[in-house]
Amino acid sequence: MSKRKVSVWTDNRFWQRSAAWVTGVAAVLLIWLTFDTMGQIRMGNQKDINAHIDKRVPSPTVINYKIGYKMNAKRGLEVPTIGGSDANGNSLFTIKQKFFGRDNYTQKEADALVNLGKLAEQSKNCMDCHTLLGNGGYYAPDLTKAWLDPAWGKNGPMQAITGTHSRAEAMAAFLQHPGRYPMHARRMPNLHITAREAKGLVAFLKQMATIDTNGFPRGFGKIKEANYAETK
Amino acid sequence: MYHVLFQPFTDVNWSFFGWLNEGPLTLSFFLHGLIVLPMFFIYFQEKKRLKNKQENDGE
Amino acid sequence: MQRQNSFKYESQKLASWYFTVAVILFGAQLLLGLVAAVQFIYPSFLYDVLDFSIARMIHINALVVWMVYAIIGSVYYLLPEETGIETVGIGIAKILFWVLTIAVAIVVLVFLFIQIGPAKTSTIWFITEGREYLEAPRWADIGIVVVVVGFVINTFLTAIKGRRTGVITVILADLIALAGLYLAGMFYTDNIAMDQYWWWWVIHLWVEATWEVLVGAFAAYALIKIVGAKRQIVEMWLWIEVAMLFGSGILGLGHHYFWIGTPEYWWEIGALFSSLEPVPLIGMFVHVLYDWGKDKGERMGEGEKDVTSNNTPALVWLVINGFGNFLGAGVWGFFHTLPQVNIYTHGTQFTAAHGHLAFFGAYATILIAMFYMAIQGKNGIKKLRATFASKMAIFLLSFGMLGMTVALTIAGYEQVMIERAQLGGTWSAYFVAQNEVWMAQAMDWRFFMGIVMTIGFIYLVKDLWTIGRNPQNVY
Repeated sequence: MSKRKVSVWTDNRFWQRSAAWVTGVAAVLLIWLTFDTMGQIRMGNQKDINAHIDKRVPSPTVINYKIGYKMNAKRGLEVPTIGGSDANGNSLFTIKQKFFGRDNYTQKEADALVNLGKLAEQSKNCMDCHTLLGNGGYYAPDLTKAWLDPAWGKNGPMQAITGTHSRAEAMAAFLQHPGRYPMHARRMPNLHITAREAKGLVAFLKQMATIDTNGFPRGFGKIKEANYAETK
Repeated sequence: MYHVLFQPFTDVNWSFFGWLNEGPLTLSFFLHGLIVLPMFFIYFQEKKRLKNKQENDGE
Repeated sequence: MQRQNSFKYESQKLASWYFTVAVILFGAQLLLGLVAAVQFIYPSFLYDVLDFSIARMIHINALVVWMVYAIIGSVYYLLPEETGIETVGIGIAKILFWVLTIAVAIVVLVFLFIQIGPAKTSTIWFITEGREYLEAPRWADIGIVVVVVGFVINTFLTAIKGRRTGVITVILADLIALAGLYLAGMFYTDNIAMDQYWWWWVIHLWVEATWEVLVGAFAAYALIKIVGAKRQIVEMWLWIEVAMLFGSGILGLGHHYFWIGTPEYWWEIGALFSSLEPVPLIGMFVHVLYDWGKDKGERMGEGEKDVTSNNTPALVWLVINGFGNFLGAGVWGFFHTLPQVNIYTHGTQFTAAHGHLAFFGAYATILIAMFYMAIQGKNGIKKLRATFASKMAIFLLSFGMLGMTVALTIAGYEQVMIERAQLGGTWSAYFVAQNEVWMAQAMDWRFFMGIVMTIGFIYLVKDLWTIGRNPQNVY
């Protein structure tokens, strides 16, 4: 009887079984994690807002509220705020803001608007120039927090250029006729966006800005000098 | 040291994985452990198999 | 064709069809890439005719589709040699090839001439789905799934009937996963976070898991064929690679879940698992060089004089694959995989730099190696030597891609620092960074390197067309 050592490390069967095990367990863990994440990123509804519950992906009815992006004391990073915020950066869920002249969109109306906006975003291929949540093309600005961009605010240039008096209206005007308001040599093409689609897109952008992205993009819109720099 | 190694739970929603994430690399050890540790079992099982095979071949 | 055809199997003939379409789409990819590169320098180029969004969409879709074609072709090519039998249902396989090709042609025409649609579900079904890389409309998705399922069933039945080697076992398991994953991208949701979550299932689990395993399997097959490496050793390496690639790659998916609305625990999961992703890539590179050298040494020791490989261009592309995979996917991926830096690099030209080098280094190279193996098989060549054109293609394509990556990396640094870190990522911060001279220079160099690659591609096509016919290269 031979007493020679056996080499498991050079045995194909050992590696084959290990490969099968590793793949299987990693896949099962991913599925487990996916179930956990799914529960956390399901879209909220007005009841959550009424109950002052923070959702990672809030209800489309956030379009009725004033929203912001504040450093949160507990999280240690910037978090979107809905309906105003306290000193710690937590949402108050109270202060409203008119969206195309109204701040009483029902759940159904708001859901339909965001859905229309998402359909438009896909139908017009926004993501092959812009990034959304940081994913997409790099030919145009990131849209994750576009709603909060100072360019569309009172002190920004876009309301004056488009002859409008609110963020929502300025964005909708630009989206319908981007060629009329060139911001840069790199102009946005005319994508034949209708007034209805533009309203949906703006609702979609506003709701996207309230998604808790773990502090991305960091310091968005916080540097005053950068906000209204000349853009050619 | 405690507050460096163990961080308070700060995420939006509580979850098992978020809880594991509070300790020093505990989430990583948990996941990597599940993936890698059973390979020891496979290793010894295969070693036994190869030894048996060698003995049988020797006779 | 008038050329004498030495393929022993119909399956390999079918493979050559797939390879031909793959090369054509590779050309389309380069052409549309050049259009998009020009638009970065002269934004009014083809404005409102073939906008950047359309040029880029076709650029990246041509990339994915040519690689899928070349992957299917490679499997059909090695299948009969590995199993020892003709592919089961080869007649159906040929019909599926035409179905797929016609579908692809229709999708490309719609992309080119209809481009976009109104915000309706019908647009998503018939014009574009508008989800980066997955723009193909839903009807085409269903077509692709049908064709791929047919392909997987064919492969499966052939493997059951014939010899089941380790290489075939890995490919089979991997193809089932690859086909199944595509389904994760075939639904609509109004929740953009949910949308991106499942989108990454398809994108990441394809290119950072299942495709990488296919590369391992193709490399194993090629090493056995062209340097005569021992199957037992090659297959042991393959199983180790599968364990490490899937072990790191599946949960490495977490590095895409840092900022899309998903929970914070993904930071740690994504960071740690994706940091391990380069490890098998180093292993694969070492493995290719080791087997090559070891086999050469053994044969020299046996007194054999002519110890070169039997297919020089394929071997060189294989070595470039080993290194390019490690450099592009491994090093450039690791550069920005940790959340601490990714919060600034996410969604910048840095990602583009990584994407370009990784797709080329990890996939284009090995698939070109498979093209050369098919040329060898088609013409019944015992030993295929590199021609001037082969060398020019190798040099210009690799150098061009490396130069482009360096240019995009510099653009990325500039964008990360100025737009993101300094100015806080707003609309105007974006354009301040885009107007910087460093960005402009980088974009000029990127375009120039794109031209270099295109010249390399012309040499490649010329070489693939002629190398098999010229008796000088064959001995």
